[in-house]
Amino acid sequence: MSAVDAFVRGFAWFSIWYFVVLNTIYLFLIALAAFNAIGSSRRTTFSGLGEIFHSPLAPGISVVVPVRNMEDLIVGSTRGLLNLRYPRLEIIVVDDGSTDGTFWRLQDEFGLVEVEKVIRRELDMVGRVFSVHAPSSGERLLVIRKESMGRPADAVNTGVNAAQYPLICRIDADTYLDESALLSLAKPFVEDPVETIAAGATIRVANGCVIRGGRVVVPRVPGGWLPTVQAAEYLRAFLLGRAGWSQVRGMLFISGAFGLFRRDVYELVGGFHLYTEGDDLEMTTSIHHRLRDDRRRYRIAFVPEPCSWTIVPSRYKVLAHQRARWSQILSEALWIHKVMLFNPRYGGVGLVVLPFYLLFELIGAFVELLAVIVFILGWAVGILNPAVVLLFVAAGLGYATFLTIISVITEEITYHRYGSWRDFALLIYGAVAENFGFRQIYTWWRVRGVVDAILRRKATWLEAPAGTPDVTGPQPGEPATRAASRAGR
Amino acid sequence: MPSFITVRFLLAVIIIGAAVALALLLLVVISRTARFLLGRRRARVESQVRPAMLQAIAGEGVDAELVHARGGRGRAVDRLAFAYLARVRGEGHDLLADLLEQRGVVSRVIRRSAWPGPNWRAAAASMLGLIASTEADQRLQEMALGDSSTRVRIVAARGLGKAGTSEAADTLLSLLGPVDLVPEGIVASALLELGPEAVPALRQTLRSGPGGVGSGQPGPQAGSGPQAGNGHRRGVPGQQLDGRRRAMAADVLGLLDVMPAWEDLVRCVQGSELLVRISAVRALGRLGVPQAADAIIRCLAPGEDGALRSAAARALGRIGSPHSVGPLTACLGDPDYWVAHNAAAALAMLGHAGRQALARTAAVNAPGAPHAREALVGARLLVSESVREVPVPSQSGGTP
Repeated sequence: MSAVDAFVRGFAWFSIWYFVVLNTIYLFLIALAAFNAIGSSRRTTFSGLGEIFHSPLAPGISVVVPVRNMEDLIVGSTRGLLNLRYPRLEIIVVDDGSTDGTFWRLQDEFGLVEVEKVIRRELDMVGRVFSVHAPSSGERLLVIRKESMGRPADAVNTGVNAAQYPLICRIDADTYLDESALLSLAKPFVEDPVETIAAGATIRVANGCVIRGGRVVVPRVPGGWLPTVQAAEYLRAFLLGRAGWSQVRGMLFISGAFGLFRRDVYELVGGFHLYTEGDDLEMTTSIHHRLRDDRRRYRIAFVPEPCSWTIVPSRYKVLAHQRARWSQILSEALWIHKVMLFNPRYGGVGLVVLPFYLLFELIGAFVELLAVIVFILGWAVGILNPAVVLLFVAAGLGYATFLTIISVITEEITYHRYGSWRDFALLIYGAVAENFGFRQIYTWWRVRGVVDAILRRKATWLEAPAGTPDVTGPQPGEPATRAASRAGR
Repeated sequence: MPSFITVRFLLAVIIIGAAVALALLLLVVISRTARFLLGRRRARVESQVRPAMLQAIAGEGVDAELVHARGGRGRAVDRLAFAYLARVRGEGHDLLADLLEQRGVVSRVIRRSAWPGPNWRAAAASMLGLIASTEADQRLQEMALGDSSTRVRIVAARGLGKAGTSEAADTLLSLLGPVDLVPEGIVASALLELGPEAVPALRQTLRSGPGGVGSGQPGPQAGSGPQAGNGHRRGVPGQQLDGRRRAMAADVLGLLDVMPAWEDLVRCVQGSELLVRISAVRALGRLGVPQAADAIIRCLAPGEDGALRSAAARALGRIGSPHSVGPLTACLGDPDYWVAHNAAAALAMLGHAGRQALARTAAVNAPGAPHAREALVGARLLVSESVREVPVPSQSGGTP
């Protein structure tokens, strides 16, 4: 047996076991999350959201919305946020150097007038603030115009510095929220105000949904290969993947598209890191890092109810860009917080969650890419017999498809947001298509992202192609989203 | 390749996996169909029962059929009754509660409140809270103090808030201790919901701390009652109530507008516990008691804690005493952002004198000038808003 034969056979068996271990970890997380989702859906009738809404003791929320060149979307989005069901709320839109009519649209709609506003310097902010505006109608809206530094982190930090309430909701302008979304997200803070320091929520794909007045009124699964696959993928990633990690207190991602943080914790970790690519992932990891350093007990909650919706890219190029960026963000975060890796001081996050991401997300991208190549070539030249190839397909792809199907089924027996048979059929199709075709391409994008991170560590913020008619949703002409560039990670 | 990997083994694995996936899919198809058919049937039965139910709520007599309905029809009556209970008050509420009592639902729900699953128990607690009868109240108190699940205790505490009895207030207060049986915010909301019934217990709590008028007196019966000796309790204090309880009591008294409590609150402001002082200052601000202004002004002193000073500044704005103008103006240039910000906002609320002070600070470009300008602009916006809200005079006359 030649060295090449030995390598191919050895690697083939390694990658089969790799997939078995990876998918079994996912199965474990999915089982945890499914039980949680079932319990949570049964608790809806006595969730107490109405009590929070009517309580003068509900903690106030400052919603910070960083925007850049979103003139088509900004008015509807801001109106939708102002109409959210929450007792104490202010909306802070930070116009991060828009060069289109974003600000003027806001001014026309809300009758903005320039106001004096003393903005604290609690968090780092680099871009100069040009002006601050508020509606003459007295609505709880503040619009800050500032110089762009090329990354939304600076805009978010500016918004947080201007915020007055103890909870900060960071949201993208192109995320659609259900009317009670903030009540759901604030609930963990009301029930456990001492330990809850942040909360994330399930985000679903808005493409294809019927949206009116900034609200998703009829959820639908989009058609088309890429959006359908992403709809199934988001279902698994959010409903089960993240809910699963939160069950073992290992939530590493609170999506920048929709997340709620305690302001004091935000300030404790110095807000968003201004010079990394990924503001939200880096932020969540920083919180773990700092609070574990301080030996503080804390909880990052996850709300499994689907209450926010985002537009996902339907074009290959945009999606490739987005996914490579996610990988780059993860690489940067792992690099910055490398001291946490395999470090018992950081508990489960240091010993389990971060190593998992290192081994199965970063290094795993290379393993998976190499595995595909090795199996195709090994089979073609006769080194691997068909039984081993079949086993690889079963362990790697069949098992993963099975997991996504379980996600779809869990959605069916819990929240049941997709009503029609067509949607159900599309989700099943998406579960299969995700693993046969999409996943292999995605692996390539992941590898590209890691290489990008290694080659140019100080990557620049890649702006969403605002204004591009990328969206296949019900509102043609809305820009491709920045939320999508973070939400599904 | 390991010896157990044979073609037959592989086929078996793949076939079993595919069969499980297909079985699950089939299950979903069946459950979807069942959900659809069941939903349609429920809607039909509810539409038949609804008129009689509305008649009952309107006080036009309870149809005997509603009392004796069984099976699907009976379940529809119960569902609708609970749905309406959440929305109606007064006589309509009592009639619905009576109907449920006659149907034997209350005893059924009480039995369910002891089932093993916490979700069942929490659902039962939620229903008992809606029924709000003496029997339900008693069971809710037991659940709030003794249930092993935090979620159930939370729902029971919320239910007690709807009960409207002073015993419920005592129970709610005793849920707080070194380790809370129910989160503080939930207890506070429930006490607020209780309203006037909660006031005696809250005032007693406020007085019972160090420096309070009734220092040393026992508070609510934390160590007695149905919960005594229960293994799930995680340490409720006996005689001495902690500062958090008094702070919460102060906050709730302020929110309930209990004016007679102002002297107790002033004593708390003069006390030594920071948390209690902050809450008492907030409460006095909400009550708007001018006699408390001097005590609150003393909280603005530079040596005091920042959170207390900013709460004091805000409270003084609400009280509106002209004596506050000087001390608040002195705070405009404070290095603590929130103290300066709240002082400026308070001055804007103090009428002409306050605004003049703001204008003077803004004009001389003093350290507090930006805060002063912000408050002045904010005040102008508020004025324009209040003018906008004045009704447009009719043709027949009247001036805005």
